[in-house]
Amino acid sequence: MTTASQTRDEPKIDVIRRLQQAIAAKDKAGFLAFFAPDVEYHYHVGTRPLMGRDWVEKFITKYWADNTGSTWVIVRHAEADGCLFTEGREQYTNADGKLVSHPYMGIIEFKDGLITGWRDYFQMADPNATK
Amino acid sequence: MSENMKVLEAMMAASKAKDHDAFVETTTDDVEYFWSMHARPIVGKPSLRKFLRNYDSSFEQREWSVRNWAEKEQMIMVEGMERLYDRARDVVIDNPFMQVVEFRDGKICSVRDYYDGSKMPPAPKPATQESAA
Repeated sequence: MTTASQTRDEPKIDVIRRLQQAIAAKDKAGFLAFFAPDVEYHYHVGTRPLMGRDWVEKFITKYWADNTGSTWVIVRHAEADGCLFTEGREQYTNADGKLVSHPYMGIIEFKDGLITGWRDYFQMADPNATK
Repeated sequence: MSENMKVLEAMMAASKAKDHDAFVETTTDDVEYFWSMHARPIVGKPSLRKFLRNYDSSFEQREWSVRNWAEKEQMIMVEGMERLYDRARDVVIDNPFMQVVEFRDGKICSVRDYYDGSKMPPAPKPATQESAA
């Protein structure tokens, strides 16, 4: 397992590529190891954030149980001041069997090699969905 | 500060001054503006100018601030906040957002805005005869 000290100097996009591998493998312990204990995770800005790694664990447990076929594609990225900015698309099939797909942007903050902040911006409900 | 960041700041200043000419001048002729990622983009200066006129008739942008940003090649990624006054609803809206701004030859050629428009507050209920009295 890669340690926090190893990730400290690594390009942030490489850290997130490895986190994506943990997600693809549904490696919960590996996934949670990327987060600081006091992480503030806004999986959707506009919704109450997840405060702390324990809450992230509850969230990802439910997310993996409810959703299938999850795809997270990063199309563009840039880094500055210990933050990774991403633009991409997330897609999955939810518990009702409905395909959910949204373009998004996100910012991920790091400190001492661990994720301390994460904010994803997107429109939760596709305004065209009912048209 | 990079030359591209100066151009973005010029666009923000033009927006604050409600100077549509200066705003449009920061863009390429074929600028593409995705004001929502779920709607068709605004393409070209004439359409952008029309969009700005329509926008100003509905909203007054009171703040457009950049909180965090990163630059890579001909692209700037921004996290920010805008404060809008919704004229029809008579409410002030804080709209946190991220955006990608792309540049070509010193002008802005593409903007994509990401936010949750559904989080805008609902329109106030119409006044009843009793409450309006």
